[in-house]
Amino acid sequence: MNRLLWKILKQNLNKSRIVGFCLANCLGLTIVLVGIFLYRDLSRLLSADSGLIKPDYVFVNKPVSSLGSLLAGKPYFTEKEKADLLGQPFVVALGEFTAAKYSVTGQISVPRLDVYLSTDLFLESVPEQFVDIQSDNWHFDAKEDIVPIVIPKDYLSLYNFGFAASADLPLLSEEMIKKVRFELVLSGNGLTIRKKGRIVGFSSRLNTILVPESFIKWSNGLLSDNTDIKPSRLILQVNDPTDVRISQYMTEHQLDVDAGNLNASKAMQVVRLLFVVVAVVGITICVLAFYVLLLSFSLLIEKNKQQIDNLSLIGYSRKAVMMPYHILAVLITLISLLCAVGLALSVRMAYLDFLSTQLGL
Amino acid sequence: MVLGIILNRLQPASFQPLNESEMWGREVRFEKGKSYLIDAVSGSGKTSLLSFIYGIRQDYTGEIHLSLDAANTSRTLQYPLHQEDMTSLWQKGIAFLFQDLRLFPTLTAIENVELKNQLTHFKTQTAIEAMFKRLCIADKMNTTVNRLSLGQQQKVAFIRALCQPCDFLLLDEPVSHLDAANAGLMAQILKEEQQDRQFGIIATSIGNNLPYDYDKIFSL
Repeated sequence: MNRLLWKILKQNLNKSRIVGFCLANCLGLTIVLVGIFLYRDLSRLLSADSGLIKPDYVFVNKPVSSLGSLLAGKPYFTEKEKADLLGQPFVVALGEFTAAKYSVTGQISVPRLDVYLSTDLFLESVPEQFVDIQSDNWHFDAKEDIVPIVIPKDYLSLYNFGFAASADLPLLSEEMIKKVRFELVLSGNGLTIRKKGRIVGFSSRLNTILVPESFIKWSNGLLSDNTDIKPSRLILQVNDPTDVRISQYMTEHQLDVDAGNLNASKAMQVVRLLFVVVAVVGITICVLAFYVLLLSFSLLIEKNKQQIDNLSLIGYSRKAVMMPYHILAVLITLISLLCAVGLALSVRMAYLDFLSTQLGL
Repeated sequence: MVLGIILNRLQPASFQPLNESEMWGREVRFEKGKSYLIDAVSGSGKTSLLSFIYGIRQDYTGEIHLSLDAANTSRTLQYPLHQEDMTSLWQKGIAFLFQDLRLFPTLTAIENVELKNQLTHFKTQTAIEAMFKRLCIADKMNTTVNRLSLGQQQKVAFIRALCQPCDFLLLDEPVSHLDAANAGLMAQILKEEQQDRQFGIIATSIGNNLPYDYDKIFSL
C-alpha cells in the first residue's frame, strides 16, 4: 500500500469507533460461533452416534380409546399402513407382534410339597432379528417337548422388589428362574397340546411373554382356524431415535409410541429452536456492527472529501484511493473474526469441560 | 492532424461573459508545443475555463475536443469522459498547476511531489531535488506544506505539475504569490522543460504575468 496515500487518508480516522466496531462485531460473531459449536456438539451428544443414544427400537400401536374399542374395529394395522411405515426414511426394519390365537395355561406342580399352581397366560412372537437374547436354547422344534420363553426383565423386578419384599417371600435370581420347568397347556380348535415351558432369558426391550416365531406359527396352525392374523403392535428398528420426523409422523398418524428415547428427539427440537434464537441475536449484533463500520467509513470519507478530491485531480484513480479503506475494512473485520474464533473456542472448551465433569457426557 | 485542444463555441452556463471576449463563443485552437496566455480581469472566468478544459466542471455549452498524444492516440476525446479516461488524462494528458494549489498540508514538500511522481514515475529523485534547489526551496523539502509560505507552496505545486508527462500544461495564475525574480526562475525551468518535451502551455494571469515568450495572448 502506498505510504503517502495512507498518510493522507488516515486523517480523521476515529480509533474509538474502529475499536467499537471490532468489539461489537467480535461479540456478535462469538455468539453466532458459540451457537454453531453448541448446536453441533449437542446434536452429536443427542444423536445416534454418541453411545448415549443408540439405534433403537420403537413400539407402535394404535391408541385404545374407550369408545373406539366398543364401536370401531380392533386397532389392527393394515398392510397399507405397514407399507407406509416401512417406507419412512427413519425406519430400518419393521416387525409384527404375532399373538397365539388359542388359550394358554401355565401350570407348576410340585407333588412332594403338594403345590399345584395354574395361571392363564398369553404368548407372542416377533421376528428373530428383534429379539435381544443370546441363548443357545432359543429355538423351537415341533418334535421337542421344550418351548423356550423370554419374559420381560421388569416382571422379575416387580416380583423381587415389589411383591416378594412386601409378602416376605424369597428373592429369585435370573439363574434360579431359568431352572424352573413348568407345563404349558395349549388348547383350541378342539385340541389340547401339552408342552414344557422353560424361561431362557429376560428381555429389557420386549414387553411381552415371548416365544419363538416358529412355535407361534406351528401352534396357531394346529390350534386356530383364524389364518388372517393382523398385528396390533409393531416393532420398528430406527437408525436414529432422535430423528424429529419420528415423533412428527407418529403424531400425524395418531399412533401411540412406546420409546423413552423419543424424548431426545423432542430435546433436539428444543436445541434447534434455541440455536435459531441465539443465531438471530448474534447475527443482529453483527449486522448492527457492520452498520456502525459503514457509517464510520462514510463519515471518514466525508471528512476527507477534500483530500480525496485532490488525489483524484492529480491523477489517482478512484480505485487506488479507495483501496486503503478497503484493506482497512477487511483487516479489522478479519481481526474481529479471529478474536471471535478464539473466544468461541475457549467458551467451547469451558462448556465441554463442564459437560464432561459435571454431567459425565 | 495537429495535436491540441479545440474550444467550439464554448459558453459558461453559470455566468455571463464579457461581450468583447476572444475566447467565449468562438472557435479557439490551442496547439501542442505552443504557449498561450489568457489575460483577464478577475471574475471573467479563466479558472472556470481551465476547469472546463481539465474536465473538472461541465457547466458550459459548446464543445471541447481533445486530440492528445499521451492520453489517447486514436480518437478525439470529448467530455464527459469515463472514469478511466479521466484518470488517464490526469495522469498523462494534461498537467495542471491549480490556482488553489491543492497540495496536501500534512505531507512535506518533497512528499507532495513524490505522491505525484509515484503515479507517473516521470522524474528521478535527483531531478526533483535539483528543481527544489533551483527554486531556492531545497531547505524546505522536508517541511510540511502547512508551514510553508504561499509562494513556497506555489513552487512545490509547480514542481509537482512538472512531474507529469503531458501534452498540455495548464498554469492558473502560476506566479500570483511570487516576485519577479522567482517568477523568472520558474519561467527558466519551464522553458527548458517545454523545449525538451514539446508540450503546450496555457497560462492565465490577472496582470502578474509569468515572464514567457508566448505565441499568443488572448484576452478573456
